[in-house]
Amino acid sequence: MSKESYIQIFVLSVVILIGQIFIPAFNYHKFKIVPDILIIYLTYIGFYHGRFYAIILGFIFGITQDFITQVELLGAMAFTKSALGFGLGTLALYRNIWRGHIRLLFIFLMYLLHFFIYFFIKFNGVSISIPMYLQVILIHSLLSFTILFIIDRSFMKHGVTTK
Amino acid sequence: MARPRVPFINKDVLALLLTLLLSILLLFTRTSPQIQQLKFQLSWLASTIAYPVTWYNEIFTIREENKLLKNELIQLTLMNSELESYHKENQRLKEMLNFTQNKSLNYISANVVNHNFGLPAQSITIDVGKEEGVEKNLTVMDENGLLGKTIQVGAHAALTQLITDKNFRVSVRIGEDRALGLFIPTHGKFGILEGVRKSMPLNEGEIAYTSGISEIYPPNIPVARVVSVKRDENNPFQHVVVELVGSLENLDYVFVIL
Repeated sequence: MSKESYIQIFVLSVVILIGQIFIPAFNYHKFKIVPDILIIYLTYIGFYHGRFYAIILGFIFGITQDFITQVELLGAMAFTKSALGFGLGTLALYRNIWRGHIRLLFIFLMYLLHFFIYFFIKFNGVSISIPMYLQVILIHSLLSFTILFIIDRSFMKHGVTTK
Repeated sequence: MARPRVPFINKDVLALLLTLLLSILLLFTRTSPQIQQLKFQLSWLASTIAYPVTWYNEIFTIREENKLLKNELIQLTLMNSELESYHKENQRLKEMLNFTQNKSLNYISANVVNHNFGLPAQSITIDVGKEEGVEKNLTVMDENGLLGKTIQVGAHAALTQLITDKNFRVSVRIGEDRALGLFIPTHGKFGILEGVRKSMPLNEGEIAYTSGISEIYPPNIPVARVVSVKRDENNPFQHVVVELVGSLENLDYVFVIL
């Protein structure tokens, strides 16, 4: 990877991190739903640059998010985002093998798994019904996935939805 | 052409392991309820996974324990048989002892069927009489000491004058010199010993036994324990207050010395 690419990734990462802070949230029942644009960016890193960069960036994003939003669970987001980076890095390995819809399905499943682990840690010991827990996971995953889909279809020439 | 060397762990996996490890370390430094719960769940999971290993190791421990217990069992069995032998020996000795006692003190046991604590005499009724070999003026006692004597005897019952009756008297011996005295009841389970000479040293707690002078009471039956001793210059005898050794409370069973 060239020096320009590093700088590009760094600048974009900072911009997206700042964007994540100011992204609007909404309430679903008593839960705050925030679209996670960091995982969208991580998806592209994984898709274009492979696992290693996705893992490292996932960890940096996660730890930053933890420091900003939830110091009491410091490491939770870092853990899930590192694992997500590893999973999404698989996209690079199968770039020419998987077709668009397989890729999308894989990404959606990765998002689900990411939020499943994250909310499992966050809601541990908190009285919340399982359907509500699943709904929160699904809404977060769907929201991020929809944003990814829209961005990919609108701005990316050779994105993840490309056949 | 030499084959390219394939690393055992590639950098992706290494990066993943390092970041996950770091995340977990950070996570477990927290003390929030979620993390506490997570730690608990993980420890439970680890113990569940490790259960077969624990179970396998325990089998060896149990085998060792079983071996030790078997050894102990053998030792205890031997001890038990020894104890059984002692028990039989003890029984035999007791029988022999009873035989010796029966020669001097032949007694029968009796149930107390009635208590008469009013006038004219403090007495009890027991369920043995002439048919059982009981006669008038036989000693009645319990396992601790003298209780009284039979005063009226029926076919299957006998009236017994209690030692606490105001008209009851019994000759006793007390002290190292086995000095003679006369027990006279005063109140409740207390009484006095009359006629104990002043020169005889007497201590609290000493037991007065029947003297054997009387034809009614055999010798050496415990009667009373010394509670206090007073010596008066004008009186040649000691004033000895005693307490009965026989248990008059909850009187259910007694022995009649034939």
